[in-house]
Formats: sequence, C-alpha cells, structure tokens
Amino acid sequence: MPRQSLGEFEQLVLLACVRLGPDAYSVPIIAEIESRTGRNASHAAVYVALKRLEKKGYVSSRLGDPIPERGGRSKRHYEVLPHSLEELRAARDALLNMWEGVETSR
Amino acid sequence: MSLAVRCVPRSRRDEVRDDLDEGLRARMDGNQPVRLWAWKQALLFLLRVPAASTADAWREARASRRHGRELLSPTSRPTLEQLMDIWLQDFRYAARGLLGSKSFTAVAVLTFGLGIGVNTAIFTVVNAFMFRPLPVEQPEQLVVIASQTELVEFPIGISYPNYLDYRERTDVLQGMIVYVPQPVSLRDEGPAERAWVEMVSGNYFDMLGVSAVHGRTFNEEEGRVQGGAPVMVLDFGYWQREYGGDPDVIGHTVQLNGYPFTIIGVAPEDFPGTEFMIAVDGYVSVMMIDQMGPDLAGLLEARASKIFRSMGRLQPGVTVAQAAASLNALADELEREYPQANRSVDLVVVPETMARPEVATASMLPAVAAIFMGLVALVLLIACANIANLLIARASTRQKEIAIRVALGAGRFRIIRQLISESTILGFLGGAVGVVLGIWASNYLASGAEDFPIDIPIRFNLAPDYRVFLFAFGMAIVTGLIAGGLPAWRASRTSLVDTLKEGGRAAKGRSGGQRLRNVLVVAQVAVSLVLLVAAGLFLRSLQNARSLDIGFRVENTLMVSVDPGLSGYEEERAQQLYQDLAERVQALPGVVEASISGFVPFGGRAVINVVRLEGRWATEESETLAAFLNVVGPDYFRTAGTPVLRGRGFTAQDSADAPGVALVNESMARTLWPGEEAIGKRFATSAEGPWIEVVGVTVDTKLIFIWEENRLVFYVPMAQRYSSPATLFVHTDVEPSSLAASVRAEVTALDPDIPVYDVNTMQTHLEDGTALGIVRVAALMVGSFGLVGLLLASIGLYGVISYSVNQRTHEIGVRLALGAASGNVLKMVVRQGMTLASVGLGVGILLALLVSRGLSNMLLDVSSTDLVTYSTVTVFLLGVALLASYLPARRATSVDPLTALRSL
Repeated sequence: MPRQSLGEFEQLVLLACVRLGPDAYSVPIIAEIESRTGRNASHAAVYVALKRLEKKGYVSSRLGDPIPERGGRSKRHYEVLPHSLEELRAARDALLNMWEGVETSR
Repeated sequence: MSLAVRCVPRSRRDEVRDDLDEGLRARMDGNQPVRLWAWKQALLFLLRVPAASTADAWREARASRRHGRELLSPTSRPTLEQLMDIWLQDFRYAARGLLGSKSFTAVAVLTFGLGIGVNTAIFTVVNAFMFRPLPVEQPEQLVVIASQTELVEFPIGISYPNYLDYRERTDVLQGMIVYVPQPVSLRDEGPAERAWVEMVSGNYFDMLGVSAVHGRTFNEEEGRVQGGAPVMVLDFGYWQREYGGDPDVIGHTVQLNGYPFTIIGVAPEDFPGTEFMIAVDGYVSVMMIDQMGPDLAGLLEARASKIFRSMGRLQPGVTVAQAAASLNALADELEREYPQANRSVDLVVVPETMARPEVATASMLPAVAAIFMGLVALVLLIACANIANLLIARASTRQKEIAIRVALGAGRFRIIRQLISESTILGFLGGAVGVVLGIWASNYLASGAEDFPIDIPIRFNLAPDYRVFLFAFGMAIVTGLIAGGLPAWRASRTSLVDTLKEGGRAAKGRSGGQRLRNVLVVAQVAVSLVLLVAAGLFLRSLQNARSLDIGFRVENTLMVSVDPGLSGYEEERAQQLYQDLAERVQALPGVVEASISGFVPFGGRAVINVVRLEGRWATEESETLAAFLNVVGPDYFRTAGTPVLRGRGFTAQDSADAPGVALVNESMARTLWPGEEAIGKRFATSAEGPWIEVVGVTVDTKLIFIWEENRLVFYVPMAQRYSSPATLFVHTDVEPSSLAASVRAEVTALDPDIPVYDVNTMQTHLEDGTALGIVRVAALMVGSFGLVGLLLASIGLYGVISYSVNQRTHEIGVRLALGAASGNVLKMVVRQGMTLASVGLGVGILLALLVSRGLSNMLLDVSSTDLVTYSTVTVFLLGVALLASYLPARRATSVDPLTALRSL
C-alpha cells in the first residue's frame, strides 16, 4: 500500500485528468465529473483535491501559455504522472475484488 | 467572490479566479440560476480551502512528530500552517488545563460573564439609539429636520406650508417627508378603542423605499387632495394582532373618529415606522388631518404651527453640514417671505441615527452614551483585574510545570502565548455567558420602558443584532488579552534554575507575584470607588429631584384622562361632560375636590402661545413673548395644590360668556410686568384676539423636565378655551389609587363610549414617568454597576489576602509557636488588607474627582465633589474591605503551629 492512499473524490479527479489528457484543468475536470457521474463538483473541492494530488505526487502541474480570453493570463494544466495509473488500477482492483460475488446478488 | 478567493494562497489566486470566471461563463449559456451558483462556489471556497489546509497541516505535523523531528527548526520561519498547528496545540492544551480545574474556570467565566454582560447590555441600548439603521432603503442618507425657534430651548417640528416650500425649493434633498403621531378612536366591529396612527405625507413610503407586504401604500393623489384619501396602511403588528394576519383585510373599511377609512395595505414586519419609541397601529395620509382630531383642523395651512416631524433624504455626495447650510438659507428666504410665522426660525439637520428619540437629544446622546459605556468599561476592568489575580495565583502554582517546559526548549514567547490562550478561552466562554446575561438585562430594560405610564404605546426594540454580537466578541478577545497578558508575561520570566532547585515551594522567596497582585487589588478598589461615587451622585440627584418644589401636590392626587373630541363630541357637549364628570367625582366618598385640566405636567404635551400686551411691547427687545398655556376648570388650583399667591383662582362664574380672565405664574408676572402688580393687567394671545385680564398670580411649576428653569405659564378657564383631551385631577383624602375604579365608573356612567386612559396617581406619574423615571433608571443602572464592581473588588481583595495567608501559613505557624497572640496575627493580616484598601481608596478618590467632573451635566443640584457621597462611599468600602480581609485573617489565627511546622 502506498504511504498516502487516494480518497474517493481524489480518484474521480485523477481519472478525469487521465481522460482529459495532458491539457486538463479545473473547468473541464468539473464538467467531466459532472457529466459522467451526475454528481455536482464545486470548484473549491476540485481545487483542494488537485492541490493534494500534486502534493502527494500523483499529478504535476504547469502553467500554460497565456491566452487572451483570460486577460493574458495562463491557466494551470495538470498532467497525470505514470505511477498514478498503477495506483488507480490497484484501487480499482481492490474494489472489484471486494465486489466479487456481491454484484450478482443484486 | 473575491473575498472567498483570498483563502487561496496568493500565488494561485489569479488562476482560481479565472477558472471560476470560466465556469461562470459556461453556466451562463444554460438556464441555471447563475448568481446562486456563483455564491455557492464562493462560499464553498471560503469554507473548504482553509479547512483543508488546516487538516493537511495537522496531518503533516502529526506525521513529522512521528518521525521525531523538531516541529520548528530554530532557523526557519514557521509557515502559516505550522503556526496554525501551534495555536491549535496551545488551545487544546489550555482547554485541557481549564477542564482540569473546573472551579477556577467557573469563577473566571462568571466574572468575565458579569463584566461582558453589563457591557453588552449597555451597548445593546446604545446600539438601538445610535447605530442600528432604520430598515429602509439606504438609511444612511436620512436626516431629521427640525426648527429651532426662540419659543423653546429645544428644536421643534416644521409647519406644513414650510415643508412644501422646503421640499419644492431644496436641491440638497432627494426627497422629504413629514409625519406626526396622533391618537384616534378606531372602530371596526365592537367598541371603539384608542389607537395611534402616524399621519404621513403622501410620499412617506416612497421616499423611505418601503413597500407594502400586502396591498399598496399611498399613491400620489392621496397625498395631494385634502380630505380625499380616506385610506389607511396598517402596521404589521396591528394587522397580526387584530386581524390575525388575514390578507383579505385589504379593502375592508374601519371607522377612524367616526369617518370610514379603507385599509389599502400592510407595512412590512421589520418596518418600525419613523417614531423611535412609539408603536403606531397604522398610517394615514396627512391630507385627512381635519378628520383626525378636533384641534387639528386647518393645520395644513398654518405656517406658524410647527408640529410636523420631518425627514429628508440627502442627495448623493451631499454632507449633513452642507444640507444644513443650504436648508438654512432656504429658511432665511422663507423668514423674509413670512416674517410673522417664521420669525427667527433656524433649521436643525441631524442624521437620523442621532435623532432618537428626539432631535432635542441629539447633542446629549453621544455624551450620555460615552458616560454609560465608560462606567461599564470600569466594571469590566475590575473583572479583568480579578481574573488577572486568579491567573497569577494559578501561574505560581504552575511554576514548576512552566520551568520544565522551558527546560525542554519552549521559548518565552511560546509560554506567553500558551498562557494567553488560556485567558482567551476564558474570555470567549465569559463572552458567551455575557451575551446571554446582556440580552437578558436589556430585555429587562426594554420591558421596563414599555411599561412607562404614559398614554403613548411605547415600543423599545432592543433585539440584539450583529453589532451587539460583534461587540461582545471584541470584548471577549480584548478582555482575554488584558487579563491574561500581565500574568503570562510575568510567569514567562520564571527563573529555570531557581524554580527547579527550590522544588514545590518556589513562590515563597519571590515577592513579585504578590506585589503585582497587590497593585491589581489597589486598582480594583480604586475603580470600584469611582463607580460607587458615580452611583452615589446619581442617587443624590434622584433624592434632590424628589424634594424639588415642583409647584403642585404629589400625594393624594389621582389623574384620569378622557378625549371626548375623538368620540365625536362637539365643544358644547364636551364642556358639559367635563362639568358633570367633575361634579360626580367630587361627590364620591374619599374625594376632597376634583377639577379638569387640559395639560398634565410632565405629560409630554404642551402648548405654547404668543402673548402680546396692551399698549407696549412684551419686553424691551420684542413685541411678543412665548408662554405655555394651560386650560383648567374651576377650583383647579386647590385641587392640584398649586397655591394662588395673589388674586383669585377660577370659579364657575368665569364662563364662556364672561370676560376673558387668566392667571399667570410668578415668572411670567415678573417678566411681563417687572416691579408692577400683574393683577388687573391685560394681554392677548393673537393679534386680533380679545384682551384677557389677569386675575391672579400662582407659584411657578415644572412642566417638561424636572430640572428645567422656571418657565412662563398662564392659565385660562376651560370654559373660555376648550381642550380635548383633558385630564381630571382628583384630590383625595384616601389612597388615591383606591379610587381609580370608581372614577372610571363615573366616566362610563356618563358615556360608555368614551375611552378612559392614563389612570395614574401623581406619585406614579412622577416616579415612573418622564419626570423622575429617567433619573431613577440612571441611578438604578449606575448603582448596579457600582454593586457589581464592589462585589468583584471584594472578591479580589478576599482572594489576595486569602492567598497570602496560605503562602504565609508556615510563617504564621512559627509566630504562633513562638507565642504570638492570635489577636496579633489577626491584626497583622487585617492590616495587610486594610493597607491595600486604603491605598486603593486614596487613588480612587483622586480618580473619582477627575471622572465625576464629566458627570456634572447629568447631575441635579449635586456638586461632583459632594462630600456626603464621597464620605459615605469611602466608609462603606472600608467596611466591605474590612470584612473581606477579616475572613481570611480569622483562618490565619486557627493555623495549628504543629501542622504548619511539620509541613516544612
């Protein structure tokens, strides 16, 4: 087990980053989570989660090029680091293992 | 939103703001409630980001502790998160410590609670008077406008014709309204009742920016045509009380003074009206003034009748001073155009929050508020000293613990901070108790005010708002720091080596703590002396006010008021009613005499008349003179106990057909006819008016304030100048209140439809009313501050002496073992306490002499250096101090020398 495990919401955010590719940033991440899970995600929650993920070393961030729509300022893009995928997979496997045999009884 | 984004570290703020903007833009395409979304996002930032960073910091700190690393390396500056963590640690530690000594905590919290409680209570009152804005649109733009005339020393209202001109010509106001409260007889189904309505100009609600919760407010037409607006807007409370909040009441017709009025709307619940203390039941257009009362007809045209209260809304960017200057220029203009009606009228313009309850109080209010806030601050100061004392005592028992912490590497600042955390927690708990106490006390005050025995329904809304809570919160922080600061600083100076070497008996060798505690006790005694002196001065004022010669009898007098004019009586019928009523009451057993009067002293209603003389000017400087008028029935002067000095009082012969007669009071006689006999002289009350002959001179009486200079007053017979309402004065030879029911019954017997109100003995009227009520409440309040202060100070003194006895147990044991008489030990300890108290008293007397000078404006015939007050208070305090030091002293004498020595 990793020293610092992934929370559920952190997993969602991380997966959204994976899906969105290297150009992920908060607005599309929220849209992705909302459209896929039907859950409302607030900017604050996503902000906090991304910051934690970065601190724990799951994602890296960089400032993109300045864009005119944002008054010449740039946005922060998040990229998933390779070993995160393994963590995600491990988390999914763990869940699936736990689900084994339970699902059929529904 | 930008506030919320501030929670984010600065380096990321721009990005986050831009992200939010982008999210917002994306939403705007859809149909969602965007504003709500934005607010929600902002709020979430406000809550989640700090919470998350605190939690992260906590987790990190725990992890780093687990790794055995130093939390703070001495060379690096701690990050914000680390600081937060240290604070949390300190607070948790302090909370554990306080939980460990529950009785200490309870005493400290209660002491703080008392101190903060009285402060909160007084602040709640000050807040209601001076800070809480009216719940209307942009209340900060509102100013109250009043006329300062030469008639009376305080500002009065403005006249309606002047109002129209001011409103028309001014360019500094966006809008201007007039309003005046008026009692009416209101009848729906069932009997008529006495109600209060506010007569308002048609633009009243529009100018204030208040709209009806049901129905509508007045329209333009209803403010323009005289007699053309028989409509009424109900007060929310009245609507709830009388109609159970039924919205169908719109369109319903009620009888106001017998005229049908249609209810068109209900004012909002939070709108208290523009009267600060009067609870009105509804609003009618001033255009219906002729229907509102028999003596009001024609007032809309009377330029000289300055009876309307007025409020204006400043143009943006215009200051109060600019508005005052500009409006006064207008007033001068109107004075030139109407020299008779507007002679030397100046306009007084003050912000609405400074004109509660009256413009007249505007100049006094801040000073009075400052005095009361100052006095309660002193109470809090004593409380702080008490807690500081307790904390010092506590710290000295914890010296060892502190020394160990220092030995383990805690810095001095850390120790101070940790101890202050403790007092801050105490401050907050005390603040919570204080808020509860304060709200309770202010409710008590409010209910007292609402029971004020006058005809007007009083509303005194002291509901606490955020300002009150903010104030209590601030007080809690400040007192926590003040009370904790000194002891913490001292405790942090603990000498490591000495303390650890001396083991548990550390404090003995060092007198520093005791010295500081002594200083605190001296300060407490001094401050409580100041408070008690203030209380004493107020009590002396009250005493003086009670014994003032007010010019009429206080005992054995009952007053009963009726207003037949409101029940549709014409003058002739009303006069007959007055006469019948006086005769019937006179015949009651226990009644010596009964007589009718148009005015009640200190009744809040007064009429001023201009007086001119036959053949010459009234005084050397002016053609006319303003004097107060009272209209009274036959035998009034005997009934009221106002002696007629020369000449005669009125009799039944002074009827409507008889020649006009008057009595004048001494001051008026002296002013108008200096050095001459007033009797036989003639004067008139209008340019055309008939001459009135003076037939007698009475003593001076007080009319409006008990401390006023004597005013000019003249009396004319009720038969010659009718007044409704009127008050029957009843002189009894039994307890006057016992006759209240039978006098009431006589009115009902004459006409069951006439409401009887203000049934009061003169004694109650004076004690609880405007005459003495204010002085009495002030004395009561300051007195209770004084007592709370005294209680706290005596606890402080007791604590210090008692602590010192504990510390000296060993020494006392030795003395006793060596043969000291227990009386000597007693004397020694008591002397210690009394020395402290005497120093405190000395300092206190000096302080009180300084402070009480500020009170002198509020005192009545008492010098601020009143010897009686000072000596009484000093002796009283000495007695209390003696008791507070005697109790521990007695304990000292019962020290068993053997036990004391063995514990060495």
